[in-house]
Amino acid sequence: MTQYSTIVEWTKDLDGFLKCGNGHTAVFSFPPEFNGRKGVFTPEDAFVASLNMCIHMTFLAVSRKARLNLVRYECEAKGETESEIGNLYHFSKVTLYPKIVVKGSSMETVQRLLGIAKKNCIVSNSVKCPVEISPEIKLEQG
Amino acid sequence: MDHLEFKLDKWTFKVPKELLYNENDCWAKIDDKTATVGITDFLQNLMSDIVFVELPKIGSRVEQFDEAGSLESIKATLDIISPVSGVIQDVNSELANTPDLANTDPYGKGWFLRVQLSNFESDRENLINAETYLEVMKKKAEKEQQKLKKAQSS
Repeated sequence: MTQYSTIVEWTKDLDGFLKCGNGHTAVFSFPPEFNGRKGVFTPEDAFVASLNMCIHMTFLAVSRKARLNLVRYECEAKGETESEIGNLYHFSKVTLYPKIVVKGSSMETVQRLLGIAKKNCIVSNSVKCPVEISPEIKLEQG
Repeated sequence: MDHLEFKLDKWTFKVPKELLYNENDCWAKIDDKTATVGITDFLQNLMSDIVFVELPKIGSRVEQFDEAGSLESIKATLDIISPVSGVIQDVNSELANTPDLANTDPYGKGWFLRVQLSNFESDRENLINAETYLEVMKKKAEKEQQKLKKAQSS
């Protein structure tokens, strides 16, 4: 078993300071729509970003193993929220929109590797909302 | 293909009766002077999603228990250990674009090599039948399960 830790500390008003186990730090707050402030990290950002980053990293690992000639990978992830009775908010779906450029491969191979990345992504495997991938794949001559 | 099987948790590992095996989880189907070689259902399950397969050149020579290519998944990189000696007559070129055939059909479309046998009488003595391989595989599977449980509890 591997453990990952983060520490959060109240600083002022509705702000906090995040210390990640790997050394990264960040100021964070609520999102503006929940009386937070603009321009800083939020828990909602962190949730969507963790999925985006994890699938990105897993795709890179799988691509390297598969000898995929990756030219570009850029991905926007969008998390949709819903509220239940009692204003209990939750993420109902996260969709990733990767734009991928590869040389000398096929659509099927890239799709398959994305599927493997999603299947093996530790964050994707840990969340209860559906995670979908809607890729835009461009093939260049190898 | 008539087979034996072993169930462990959510997995079912199949072992076709008509094939010969080495303890490195590779099978050989003998057809006169040629052997078709692949990996077992147990090994493909252990590897999980296979994303790359490297196979030897046609015409090259391989000895029994020598490396005859390699395979990679997100979990591991592994050598294919040839169960037989001889000259590589053919390789499964489909695996270049669809290496997952080794996962979905390890005893069929996911075959790896065809070897022109050079010393089968001697090689045969070092190979095991399905019943014996099933026992070898059971021990390996149980060991893997124990490793996993230990990792989860530590």
